[in-house]
Amino acid sequence: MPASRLLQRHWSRLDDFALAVTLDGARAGLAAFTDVTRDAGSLIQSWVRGQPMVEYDHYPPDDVVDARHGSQFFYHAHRSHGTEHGHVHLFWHASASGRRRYVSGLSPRWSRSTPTHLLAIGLDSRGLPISVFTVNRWVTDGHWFDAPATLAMVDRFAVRRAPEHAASAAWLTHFVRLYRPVIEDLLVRRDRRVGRHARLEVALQNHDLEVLSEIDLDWGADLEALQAECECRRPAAATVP
Amino acid sequence: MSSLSATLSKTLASAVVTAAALSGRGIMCRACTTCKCGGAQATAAKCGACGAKCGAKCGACAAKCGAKKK
Repeated sequence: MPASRLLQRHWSRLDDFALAVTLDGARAGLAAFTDVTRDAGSLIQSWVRGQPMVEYDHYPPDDVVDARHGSQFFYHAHRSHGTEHGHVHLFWHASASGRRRYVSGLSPRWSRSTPTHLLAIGLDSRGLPISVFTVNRWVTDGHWFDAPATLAMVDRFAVRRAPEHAASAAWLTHFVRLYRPVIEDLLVRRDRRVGRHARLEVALQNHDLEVLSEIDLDWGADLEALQAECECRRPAAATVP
Repeated sequence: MSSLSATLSKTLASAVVTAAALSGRGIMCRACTTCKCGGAQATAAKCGACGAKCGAKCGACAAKCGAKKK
């Protein structure tokens, strides 16, 4: 599969500094992916830990939650879609108005907010990310926000306080940053899909509408394209030791 | 010196392949059937019978999973 044209167009328009920041993030994400694969066997195994997987069960069982950043994710499997083994669901804890409510340690966490779904990332059986997709509200519950509001939450998504899953969380955080333009397109497509229906509230509960938008990825090709863009500008900066 | 994509390929060559998931519960909690991929609620109580973190009353599940309990 070729590299994403959307990403290539986006990177070609970045100034040198922004492109260098993007490359650094991509390297850090790849380093985290390499670390977790070396230490646990794969991203999936870092959450499953050798247990036989059961459809719909969450891995890890209580999800990975960063209370400070209001971010949460888990892995599970239940659908047959190409080479997908399962997918990571990403959530951000938002109030109904879309705000993150900071709560002190003494109060129940997020008493006025719910996990709002941002997107899911499909992985193959080796843990390689192969797609991103969005789902309807009935699938995940939580508040519903339009694409710009959801993208603002994606920008704030970060899992940094999860010591048992530090490497996978680091990969995820960097991955979301790298694919931000694709995620924006994904969310716009999602809104367009539900926008075809006359009543939003009805569409959001329509069980005939499950996956609302999906984009296949080739992470390797995208990394190569990013590096090529950097090499065009600063040949010495675009290689890793 | 290597490219990022070559590093990724090398990493994937050593990755463990995870087997497909086994079939799950035949009947899920009432909450889960309407919200099948929801994030675990931080304050939700675990369902006593099936252990799923549904945070809701578990009509169907209590019968199904409760019967399985030993």
